[in-house]
Amino acid sequence: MAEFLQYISEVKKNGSTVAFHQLVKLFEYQVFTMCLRIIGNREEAEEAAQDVFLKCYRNIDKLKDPEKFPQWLLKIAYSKSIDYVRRKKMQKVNIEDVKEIEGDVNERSVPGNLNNSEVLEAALTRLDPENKAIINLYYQENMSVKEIAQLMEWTESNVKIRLHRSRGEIRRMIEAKSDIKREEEN
Amino acid sequence: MQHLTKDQINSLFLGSVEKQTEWMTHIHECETCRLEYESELAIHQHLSNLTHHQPSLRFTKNIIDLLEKSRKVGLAHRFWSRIITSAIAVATVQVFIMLGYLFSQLSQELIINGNEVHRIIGWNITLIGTMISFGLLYGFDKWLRRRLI
Repeated sequence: MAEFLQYISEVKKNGSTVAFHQLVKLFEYQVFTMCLRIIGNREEAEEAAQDVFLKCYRNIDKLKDPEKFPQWLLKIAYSKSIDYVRRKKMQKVNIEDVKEIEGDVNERSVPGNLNNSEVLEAALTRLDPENKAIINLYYQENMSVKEIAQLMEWTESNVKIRLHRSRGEIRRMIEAKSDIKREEEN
Repeated sequence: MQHLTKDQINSLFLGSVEKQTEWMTHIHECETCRLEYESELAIHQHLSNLTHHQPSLRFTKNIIDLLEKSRKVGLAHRFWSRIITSAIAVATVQVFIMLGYLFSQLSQELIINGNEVHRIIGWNITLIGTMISFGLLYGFDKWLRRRLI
């Protein structure tokens, strides 16, 4: 039995904050990453992620299938973050401005025309919020197209198209960035 | 065979292609398609290697603190809801009693005694005053809790 199922049943039974503490510990990275990718600002993402967990605690009785808790939680994180972005009418961030996110990611050697993961992270911040969520769910959370479609309440083909477009967009941005770097070196 | 389109190459990564073997053979033989495939593959691999971000160290503690606070506020809210609901119930019962009394007197000659009018008005003012006081107390309690928490 998955570890989180035990905690969920305890929270459902007597509202145990100790069990909920463990649940937060288990899923904080996933929820925070989802919020950060969509919102693009650490402090605001943390605030949104806190709201996600509070909503989760208040509505955990409504969760019919505890096995699907991670998907359910990520769905809340997705809706909260999208609401947050819409409310704040946040503007797209420039690649150079993404110091906060870049600071978090370890340097990796990258083959081909990609220089480092920072460029990738920065490119990600320029996507539409929905597309950021799709990329995050597909690559980071290893969810299938079908699962993402269920979570976002879209059709599978819509998810596939957005995934394809986002990858294309990321690729174009990385190529553009590589060209700029190459020109600077010359 | 013609060059594969970007969509076709992309669909290879989603793993839902019938002609996968045929297309992969073509990619191995055709340099243009191979370069396109490798470029797509690089993006795919790097996206797969993205790491999770870590929230601040106080993140979990903040959530639990917020939960405790909201629980306290919830308890206070429940207490006041109970009091206000009871007050409304008492007021409703009183209104029904008054209406019942009035209807029972309809067939009789209506004699209004000045003292009785004063008594009824007095009761109603007390009742309304009590309800307003409860409302004010509830508002004050809510304000105080917000200030303290």
